[in-house]
Amino acid sequence: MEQFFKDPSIYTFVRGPLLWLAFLVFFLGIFYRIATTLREAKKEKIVYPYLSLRYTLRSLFRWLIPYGSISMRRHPWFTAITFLFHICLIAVSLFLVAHVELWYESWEIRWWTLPVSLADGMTLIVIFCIILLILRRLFQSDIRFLTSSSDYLVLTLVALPFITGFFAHHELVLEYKTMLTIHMLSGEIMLMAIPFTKLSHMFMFFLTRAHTGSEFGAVRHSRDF
Amino acid sequence: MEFKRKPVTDIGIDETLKRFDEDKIKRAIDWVLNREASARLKVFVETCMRCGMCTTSCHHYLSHDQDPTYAPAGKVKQTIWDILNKKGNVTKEDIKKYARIVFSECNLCRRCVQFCPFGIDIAYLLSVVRRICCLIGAVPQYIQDQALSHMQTTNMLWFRQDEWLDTVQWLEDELKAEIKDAKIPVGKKNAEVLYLAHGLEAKYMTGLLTNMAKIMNVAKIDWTVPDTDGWDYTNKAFYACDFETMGKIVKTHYEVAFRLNVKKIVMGECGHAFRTGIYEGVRYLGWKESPIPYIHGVHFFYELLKEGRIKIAKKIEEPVTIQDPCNIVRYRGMGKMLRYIVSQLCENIIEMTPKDDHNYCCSAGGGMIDAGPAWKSARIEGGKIKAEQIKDTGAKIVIAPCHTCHKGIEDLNEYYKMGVHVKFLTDIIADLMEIPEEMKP
Amino acid sequence: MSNWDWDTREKVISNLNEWKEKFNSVDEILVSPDFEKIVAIVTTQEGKTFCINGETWKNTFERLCFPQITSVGSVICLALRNYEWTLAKDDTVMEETFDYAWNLKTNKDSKSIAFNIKKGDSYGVCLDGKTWDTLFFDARDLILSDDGKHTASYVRVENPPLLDIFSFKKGVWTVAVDGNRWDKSFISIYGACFSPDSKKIAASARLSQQEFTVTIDGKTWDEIFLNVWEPIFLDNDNVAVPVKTEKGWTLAINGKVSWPYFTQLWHQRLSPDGRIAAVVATEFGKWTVALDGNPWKKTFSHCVLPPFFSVDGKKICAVIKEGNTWSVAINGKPWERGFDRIWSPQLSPDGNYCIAKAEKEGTYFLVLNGQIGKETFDMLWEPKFSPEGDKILFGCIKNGKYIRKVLSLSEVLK
Repeated sequence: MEQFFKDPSIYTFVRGPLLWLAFLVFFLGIFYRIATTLREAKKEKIVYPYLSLRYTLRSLFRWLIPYGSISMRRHPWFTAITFLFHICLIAVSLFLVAHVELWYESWEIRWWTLPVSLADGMTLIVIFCIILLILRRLFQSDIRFLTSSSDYLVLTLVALPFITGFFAHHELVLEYKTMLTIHMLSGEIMLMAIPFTKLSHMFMFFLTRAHTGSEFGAVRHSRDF
Repeated sequence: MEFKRKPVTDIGIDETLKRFDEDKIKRAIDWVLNREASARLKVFVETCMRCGMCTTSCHHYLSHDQDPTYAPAGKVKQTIWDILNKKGNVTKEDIKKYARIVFSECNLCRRCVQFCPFGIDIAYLLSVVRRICCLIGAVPQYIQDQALSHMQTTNMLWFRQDEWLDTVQWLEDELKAEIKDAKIPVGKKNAEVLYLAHGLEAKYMTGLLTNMAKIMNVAKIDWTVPDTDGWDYTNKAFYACDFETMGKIVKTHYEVAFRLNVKKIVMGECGHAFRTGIYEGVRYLGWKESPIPYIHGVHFFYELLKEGRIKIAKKIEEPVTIQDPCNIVRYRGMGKMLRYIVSQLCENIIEMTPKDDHNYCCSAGGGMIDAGPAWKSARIEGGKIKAEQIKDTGAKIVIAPCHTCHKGIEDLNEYYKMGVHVKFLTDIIADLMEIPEEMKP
Repeated sequence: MSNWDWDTREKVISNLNEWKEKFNSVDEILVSPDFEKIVAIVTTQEGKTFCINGETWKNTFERLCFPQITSVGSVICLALRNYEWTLAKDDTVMEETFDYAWNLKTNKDSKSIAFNIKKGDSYGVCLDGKTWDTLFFDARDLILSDDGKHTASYVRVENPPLLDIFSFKKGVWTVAVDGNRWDKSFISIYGACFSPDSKKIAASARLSQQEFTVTIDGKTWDEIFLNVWEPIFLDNDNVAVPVKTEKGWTLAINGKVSWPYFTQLWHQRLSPDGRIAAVVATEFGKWTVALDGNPWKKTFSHCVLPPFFSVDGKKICAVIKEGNTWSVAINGKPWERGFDRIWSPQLSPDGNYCIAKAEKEGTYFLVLNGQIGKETFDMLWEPKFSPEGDKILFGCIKNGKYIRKVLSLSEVLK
C-alpha cells in the first residue's frame, strides 16, 4: 500500500486530473443538488409563495452567529465545539499557505494566508473537535440512539484530510510525499462526497433556513431561533 | 435504547390493521412518499445531522426521564427514517408503532423546529407519517369517529342541524335574563362578524357560547352565527391528516361567510381550528392567506379592549399564569396580544418559564386529547414538565385560551395535584366586564 | 318586472324610527323584490310578529325564524307557537306543526314552499304542507326542484352506536328524494342538485378516504377521483363537476376530464349561451375566472366569488378580492376602485353596464361601471336594472326612512 502511494505517477494523478475531477464533482454536484431541490420545492406549492428575504436573513444571522439562538444558548459546550470546528475547518481549507500555493502554481492567483503555526493549531482543533463529536455520539444517549455507521463514516471523511495533512506537515508516520499524496486524495474524496452525503448540509443549511425562517417570521410572526 | 411502552389497545389502529393485507400499507406509503411529499421531506431527512439539538426542546422527552425514544429526532428515526430505510416494506407491527408515536407522542407543537440549527420541520415529518396512517385507516378510534362526523355534518359530534339551531335559540332565551333584549342572530346577512363555535360549546360547554354571546351583545357587535352546517369551527380531520375532509370543512366555513356577506369570521378560543382556518385548510384549497379575515378569540378580545368597546369593572387579584397555545402563539405570534388582555383582567401575573413562543405545549394538542381515553395516560405523562412549570409559578389560575390546552391542563391539574383553576378568557371577560345600566333587564 | 313602478322617482315607504319607538325590537329587516315593501320581525306586547310597511300581522308568535320575501312578494317564515314549529305565510299559519322546522326554501316561481322538519326523533321534509311519508334518523339540508314538485335531503340510513367507526366507514348517508332513499349509502354525500326538468338529481359521493365520484339518481359514475366538489346539470342529461386528479383540479363532464388542470377549480356556472365559467386558481394564491377552460389573464390574490353572466352570456362578471379590498371584474378587467365590501353585481340587459352595492367605512353607496355613486346611504339594498336597462331601482334607508328610488343611469353618478 505504502509502495502504491510512493509511486510518483500517483502523486501526479492526485495533484492533476483527480483534483480537477474533485472540484468538478464538488461544484457540479452542489449545483445539481440545489437545482433539483429548488425544482422539487416547486411541487410543494407552499414553499416559494411565502419566502421572505428579510426573514431568511434574520434566520441565517441568528444561526450563524455564536449563541444567536435559544438552542445554542441551551447547549453552550456543543455550540462552542461546532463553531470552533466549522471555523477552523473552513479557514484551514481556504487559507493554509500550502493550499494557496497550489492555487498560485496552477492559476497564479494568491490570497491572504494563515500563519503556519496558527493553521497548525487550528488543524489540531478540528481533529480534537471531531474526537469530541465522536465521543458525544458514543456516550450521549439521545445522540447514540440517532447515530448510525454512516455518521461515523462522514466524520472520518472529514477527519482524514486533517490528520493526514498534519502528519505530512510534521513528516510523521510516513515519508512526506507519500503522506501528502494520501492527504490530497482524502481531501478530494471529501470534496466529492460533500454534495452527496450528509456533508451537503454545508449548502442545504441555507435552503432549509430560508424556508423555515420565512415561515416563522413572515407568516407565523414568531421566532425560529 | 429500546422502544418500551405500556400496551394500549385502540381499535382504530389495532382492529383496522387486522382487516387488510400489507399490500395496502405499501400502496399508501408509495402514494404519500411519491405523490404527495416532495422536496421538504427529502431535504429535511437528508439534512438532519443527528446533532441532538432538538432533544431537550421536547416536553415528551423531558417528561419521560430523558428517554431518547421520545426525543424529536428519535421519533423521526423510529418512523419516517424507518419507512425510508425499509423502502416502504413495513409490517403491520411497524405501522402500529408508527401510529403510536405520531398520534400519542408528538403534539405537532413545532417547538423542536425552533431548536434545530437547520430549521428542520420535524412536525411536518411526523405529519407525513400521520398521513400514511390515515390512508391505511390506522387512526385512533376517537379521532376517526370525529373525522367521520365531520365528513358529512361538518361538525365534530354528529350533531343534527336542528340541534345547533335549537341550542342557540334557548341560549338566547337564557341570556335575556342577564342582558335586556340579548340576541344571538342566526344566519343574518350582511352582519360584520360571523361567529363560529366549538362543537362542544353547542352541547357540553354551552356556558362558553353564552358568555361569548354576552360579550358580543355588550360590545354591540353586529354579528351572526351560521344557520346551516359550518357553525362548528373544529376540524378534527386535520389531526388524522385527512386533508380531503379538512379542506371541505374550511371551504364550508368560508362559503358561509361569503353567502352571508360578512366582513370577517371570528372564532373562539381554540388552537387547531385557527391553524386549519388560516394555514392548513386554506393552503390545501389553494389560498395563500385566508380570503377574508379569520380572527381568533384572543385577537378579537384584544381589539375590543384596545378600542374600549368593553370595559372591565374589576380585576382578578389571585396570581395567574398564562398558557401560550402553540397554534396561536408559536404559530401566529399572539403572545403580546394575549398578555395585553390578561394585564387588563388580572392584577398579579406570574409568567411561566419558558414563555411566549418558546413555551411548552400542554401535551394535549395536535390530536392527543382527541385520540380518546386510551391515550390519556400518554398525554398526562408527557405533560409532567408542563405541570411542574405551572406549579413553579405558584399561580392559582391558569389562563388557557384554547379548548385543548384548557382540558389538557385540567387533566394535568387533577393528576399532578397542581391546585389551579384553568380559565378561558371568554369566561373571565364575561364575568368581569361592565354591563351598562340600560342593558340590564 | 315590467309591471313595476319605474316612473316614481322617490317614494318614502315607511319611517323606521317610528317602528323603533313603537316596538320593543325591530330585527331581520327585509325588502320585497320590487322594493315596495319593507318588512321586519318586531316584538309587541303579545309576542313576535311581522311589521310590513308599518302594518303588523294579527298573528303573534314566540319566535320567528328564517324570514323571507318570495319573488312574488309573500312574507314567509318558520314560526314557534305553543312550543311547536310551523310555517307562517302572509299572516296565515299552517295547521300542521313540528318539533322543529328549518331550511325554509321556495322554488323558482315561489309557488312551492319547503323546509326540513323534525317530528319526535325523526327527520324529513315538508313540501307545501305535506310531510314525507318516510322519516329518517337525520335529514340535513334541503334541495327543492325548479318545478317545486320534488324535494331531497341527505339522510342517515344506518344508526350504528357512537364510535363504531367500522360501521360508519361503510357509509351511513344517502339522498332521499320525496322521502324515498337511494339504495346505496356513502360516508359522505353532498352538493345535490336537480336537473332543469326536475326529473333527475345528481350529488357528489365519497366512497372512501380518497375515492370520490358523482352519483345520479343513486347510480355512481365509473370514474373515481381523488376529490370532487359540487356538480351542476348542464342540461337534463349532462353533469359537470370539479374533480381532483393527480395532475390537479379540472372539470369533468359525465365523468370525462374536459378542462385543463388548475390548482383549484370550483363554482362552475353555465352561461345563457351554453358556455361554462368557473372560479379557478391558476397557481397557488392566484385566483381568476376560466371560461371553457381558458382562464382570464388577470388573477387576484385573495379570492374570486362565483361568476355571473349577462343575458346574452357575452359578459361575465365576478366579485374579486385583491389584497384587502373587494371589487368587481368584468371579462377579466377589474374595476380600478376597491371597497370594504361589495355585493353581487347586476349586469344591464345589454351587458354594457354593471352596478353593485358597496360599503366603505360603514357607509353604503352604488357603484356603476366602477364609478362611485354620489349619494351615500345608511343602508342600501342591491339595485336592479329596468327591463330596458335605462333605469335602476333600489331601496335604501336614509335618516331612518325607507325610500324606494328610481334613477336614470346618468343620475347615479351625478
